Amino acid sequence: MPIVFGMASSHTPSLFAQTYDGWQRLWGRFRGTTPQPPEIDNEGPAAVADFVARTAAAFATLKRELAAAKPDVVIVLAGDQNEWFDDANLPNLMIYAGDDDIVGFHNFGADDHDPPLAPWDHPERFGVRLRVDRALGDTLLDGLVREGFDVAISRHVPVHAAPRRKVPHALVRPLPLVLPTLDVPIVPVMMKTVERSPAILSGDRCLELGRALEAICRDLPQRIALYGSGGMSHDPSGPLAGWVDEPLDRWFIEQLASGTPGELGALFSFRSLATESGSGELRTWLPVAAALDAARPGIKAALVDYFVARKSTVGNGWVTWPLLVPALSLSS
Amino acid sequence: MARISTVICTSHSPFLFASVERWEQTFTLRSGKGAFAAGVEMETRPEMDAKHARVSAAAAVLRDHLRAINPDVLVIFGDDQQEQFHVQNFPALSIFTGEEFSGFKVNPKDGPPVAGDWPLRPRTPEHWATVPGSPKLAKSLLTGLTQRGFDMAFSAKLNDPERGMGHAFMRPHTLLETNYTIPTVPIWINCYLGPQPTAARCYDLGRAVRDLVLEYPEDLSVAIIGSGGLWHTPGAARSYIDEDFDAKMLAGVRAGAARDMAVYFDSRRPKWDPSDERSVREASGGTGIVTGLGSGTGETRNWIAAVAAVEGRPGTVIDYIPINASPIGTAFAYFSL
Repeated sequence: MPIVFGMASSHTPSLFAQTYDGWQRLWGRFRGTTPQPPEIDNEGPAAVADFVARTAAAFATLKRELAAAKPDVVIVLAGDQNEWFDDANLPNLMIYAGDDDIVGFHNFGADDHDPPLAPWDHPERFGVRLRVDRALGDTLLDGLVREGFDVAISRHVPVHAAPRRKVPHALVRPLPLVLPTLDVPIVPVMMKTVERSPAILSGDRCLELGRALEAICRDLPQRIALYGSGGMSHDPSGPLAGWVDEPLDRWFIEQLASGTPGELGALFSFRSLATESGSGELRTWLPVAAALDAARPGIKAALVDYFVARKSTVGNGWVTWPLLVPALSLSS
Repeated sequence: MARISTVICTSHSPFLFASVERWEQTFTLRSGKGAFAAGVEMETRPEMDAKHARVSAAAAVLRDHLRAINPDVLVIFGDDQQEQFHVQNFPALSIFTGEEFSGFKVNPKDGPPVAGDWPLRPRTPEHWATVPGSPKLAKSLLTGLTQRGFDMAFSAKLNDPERGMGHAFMRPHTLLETNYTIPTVPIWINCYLGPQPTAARCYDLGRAVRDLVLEYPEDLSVAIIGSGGLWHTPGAARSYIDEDFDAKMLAGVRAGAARDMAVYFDSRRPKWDPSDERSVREASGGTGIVTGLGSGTGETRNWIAAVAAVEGRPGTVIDYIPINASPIGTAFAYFSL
């Protein structure tokens, strides 16, 4: 059973706050000293309440569709922001294929609290435990390295560059909202996404990675789903904080919805403030798109939702692809 | 523009830096643990003395060669044996981009080169040295390699400064008596921890490094070193020296036939089924060190990358010295360009 389903979404911190005050706190943290765009005045309590409702609905859609795919395992494409890695040993690609669960913290509601709660101080409320499919991780490592992908190997959960945060937020924040249950194991495929440097994966390389993943998974017995975590355009705390690149996001979604992910290979082939920092997390969507396209050429993604929330400093998007292989239903 | 002024391929075994008494001691300790294949006999003392002298003579030739070249920079292809990297995050390919690195000149422990509770050496000038990096060239290689489709990791500083830079990068400086002053770009290739890069990938890496050095805008004389090998599976059960493998590699060096070396190397790659834990362990150790190409022999990847940088030019093999007491096929070679 090959890859049966794919999806991708933003994981912006504000998406995990439920209140206007929470959104205001996060806006204050991430806008930095950057002058804000005039549209910010439109994001009052009513607009934020709408963002909160749309976020809940969008994550619920992902969760429902993923559950319908009945995955045995979810390969998660995700970036790191000094959580596992620092510049003493910073990979472009890394796969954790170990026996231990990944244990960290989500932040649901943490910023709604006054003052905000530090999740690591309240493990009973914010703790997340993710199971890992080591065997599939080994298979991916073996196949990718054989095919000339220079993937760093992890068999123990990394010693933390950020000891309190413990685990990349790209994993522990969105996954509890999209996994059918936390018993479904994952394989984390870590990609360098946000470094302001030219020594980082090109769009084409990310697409190649997706095609290679699809080829490796094609003959495996499990039902495998893919999830890309991060994006869309954003530059929190950077020179473009609050200035969302909506044309970029809309073009990106258009390629997915048109079944033309190959067009996205041009991304990250040159340097730009618009594609560095958080926008670089769009890399995590590319292997999903390429793998789905390899499994069924021309397959078109469905846009679940997209909204620009300048107070979150992010263009927030959710997409899913049609189920490739329906799960057998006991009732049929 | 920068130029490649020589390529040197050298073993870096601790035997190169140890007395014959240590050689004997090592054989005795290892054979007590069943570490030798049937028929692998320790050399007689006169044979050992002769091999020890050949090692010294070969190292002297390499020293003189490097001294005559007097390069501005060394680019060393080498491996890491849990000196800088651990199984939390072990890079397939990485490059050191920092200002300098320090490490033990030969070994962190004062004893025979076998696992044991030997006293730790102090980090004094007698045992510990600091080597300048070459950050500008290193960052240029990092960027260039990534843009050519290598998924490079990097270290801007040592990941484990207490343990120090690994032997694959320190020992060539010691063997070649550089006084640790030649700015050095370490490029790590995962030679031990399965799954390791194919030799074909290492060949491609060497070719790409060649192109990037030749495109580098500064007037630099760059010496490239392939560090490690040849056949050795130290400490593994039933060790021996596969002299056929070594002969194939040395024929490749003489002909500058890096691609042939890579094809042969990959043809000897142990097969394993990732779903069968035992076969993974036998082929690569799962978490590390085992027989065949997953062990010390895997360091031959560093030679293949280095020779790829001068593919087509004939190399000179100074000597090939199989040392049963380890056992290891030691070899020393250089390219005059």
